[in-house]
Amino acid sequence: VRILVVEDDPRIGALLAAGLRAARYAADVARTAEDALHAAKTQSYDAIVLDLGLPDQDGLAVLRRARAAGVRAPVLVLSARGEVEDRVAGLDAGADDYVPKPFSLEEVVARLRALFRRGQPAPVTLAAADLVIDPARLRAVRAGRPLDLTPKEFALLEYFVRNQGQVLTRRMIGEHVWDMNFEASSNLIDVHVARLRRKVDGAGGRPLIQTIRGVGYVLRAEP
Amino acid sequence: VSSRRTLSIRARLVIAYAAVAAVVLGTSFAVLQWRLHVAVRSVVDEDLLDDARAMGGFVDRGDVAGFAAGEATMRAARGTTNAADFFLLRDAAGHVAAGFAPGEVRFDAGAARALAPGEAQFANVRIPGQAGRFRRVILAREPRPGERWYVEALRSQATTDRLLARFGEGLLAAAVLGSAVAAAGGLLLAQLAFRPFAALIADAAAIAADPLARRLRDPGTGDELAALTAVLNESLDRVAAGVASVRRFVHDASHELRTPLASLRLGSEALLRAELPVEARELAEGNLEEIERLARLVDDLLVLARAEGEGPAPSPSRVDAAELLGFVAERVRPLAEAAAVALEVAAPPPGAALVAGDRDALVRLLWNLLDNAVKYTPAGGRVRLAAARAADKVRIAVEDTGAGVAPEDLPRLGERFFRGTRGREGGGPPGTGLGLAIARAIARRHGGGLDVESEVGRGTRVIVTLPEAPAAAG
Repeated sequence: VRILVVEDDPRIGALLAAGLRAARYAADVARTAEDALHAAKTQSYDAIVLDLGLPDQDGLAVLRRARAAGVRAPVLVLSARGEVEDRVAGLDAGADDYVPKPFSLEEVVARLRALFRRGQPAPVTLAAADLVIDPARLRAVRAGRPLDLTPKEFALLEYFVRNQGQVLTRRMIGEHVWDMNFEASSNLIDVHVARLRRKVDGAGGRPLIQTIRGVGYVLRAEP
Repeated sequence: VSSRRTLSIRARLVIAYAAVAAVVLGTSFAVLQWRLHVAVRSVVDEDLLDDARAMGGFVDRGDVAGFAAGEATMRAARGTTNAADFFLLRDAAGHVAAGFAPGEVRFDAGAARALAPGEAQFANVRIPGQAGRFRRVILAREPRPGERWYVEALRSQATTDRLLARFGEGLLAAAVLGSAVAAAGGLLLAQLAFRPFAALIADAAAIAADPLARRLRDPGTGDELAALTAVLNESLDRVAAGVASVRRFVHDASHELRTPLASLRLGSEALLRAELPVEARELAEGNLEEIERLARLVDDLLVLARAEGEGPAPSPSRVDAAELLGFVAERVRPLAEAAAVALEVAAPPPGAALVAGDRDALVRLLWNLLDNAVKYTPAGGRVRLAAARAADKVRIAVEDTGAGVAPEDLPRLGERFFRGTRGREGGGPPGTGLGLAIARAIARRHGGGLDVESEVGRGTRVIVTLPEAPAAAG
């Protein structure tokens, strides 16, 4: 899987590319709008990570030109501006997802995976180790024992299981599970994860939900 | 809708025109009516006195029979209808000696005695059984010293009174009509005078929708209206410049602060992917936490810059306080439960209190206040969220039984980065120190306000007042 990173900041570009390679993707970096357009038109990429703050041209204009030139790869936009209207503008211009800075590498990887997964049918039930959940019936069972979860806790658990093995930042969790469009006190997310953890991991068995300091949480099926 | 309802300038002008016309016409017509009344009365009195004097001739000659005959002749000639004159001859005691009246006429002999011989006294009297008033003259006669007679002449005023009443009605109708004509003229003049305002109002409406790009058109009249337009356009320019500079600042600051943070974060994460000694790993993880905190701080600063900036008020929609309180309380409840703090909500009934404002901003405002209240309230305490209508405002109160704020800290509360001294001994809970400043800026941006009352050891109450949305619109 090959990814084009369009980023003018050399350090961010290099770190992103290195991180993507560590996640077993092939990554090229373009530092200007012209380079990016040339690369996108001549090479075949599976996804493009595009920073909107380019020196020679507005990122959204690059996106529109690329789409006009027939580039179909999913585009993940990176931007220093995270307001709702900025996101809407990005998605209107043809972006597939929008990540505000400062992002975690984990967040970029998770969002890219979600883009690749898009269009594939979701399995009816999901499992992680001895945990099985049935989203249609809002039922979760750990080691044969049903869990008593609130709707919010179930949404949280479903998000964890769907992205098992993937570190999820508080921002991603907040966006997915809560409907306030500002980053509500991360405290709120910590409280909910703590309660979920008591119910899922509390009755013995191997702990599934782990804290990653300074980043967020991850549900791991394998030790 | 509210008690401050006023009429349009046009309506007020029309009312003023009509009122002035009514006063002017009313007074002149009243004077006219009064003058006419006086004139009619004096003619009648002269007439009546002449007749009385003529009849007095009989008395002077001591000819009571002549009086009776003369009176009878005149009565026969004029008839005994109400319109006729009547004559009576009375002796010194007031007893009728001759003549005829259509009923008993009261006569005050004592008062009549005060009249000098030849003197006349006029009065209005009523005669039982007869409609209307009668004008009466009493003429004192003394043909010989000690011999006193009174000649009394009476004339019905029914006809003249009716005449005067009809004339008065005519004048009243003329005054009403005149006032109506003046009102119509006023309306016409107001329409003419306000024609340029219609264009101004249309422009202003367009500006309300797009305050930064559009301006009022110069009416080209060179008058006060043109001056007003120029002044408004100038202040719009200043507002636009203010908004533009805030936008530029927010845009630049976003980029300048968030890009290096992104770089730092990716770098720290790359470091953590490597094999590291435990101490180095601890440091790198600590860095990530600090970066996350800084990112939140940048977010809050930019929100504050935007909320404090000049420019158009938030897009005004109608937010139901009941729904707003429920929405935020439901999300704060887990935090309160985790902190073992009771959360009480006293929301108004749905639809009873509507706020004019931007829902997202109001959610953030309440979230910040409740988050603070829960943070600063020890376990076992209580946080209360309430809202109610107060005149044309909606008042939202967040009350806690927390540590309270020292009086010397109260005025500084809500300043950026200020986090009280006594309220947070022992480090205090984490936060950016911008939550209350953001809440206050949002309240002010809505044309409302935020007040804090607090008592150390007892708790804190934050009161937000927000403008009420008109119930009819939208």
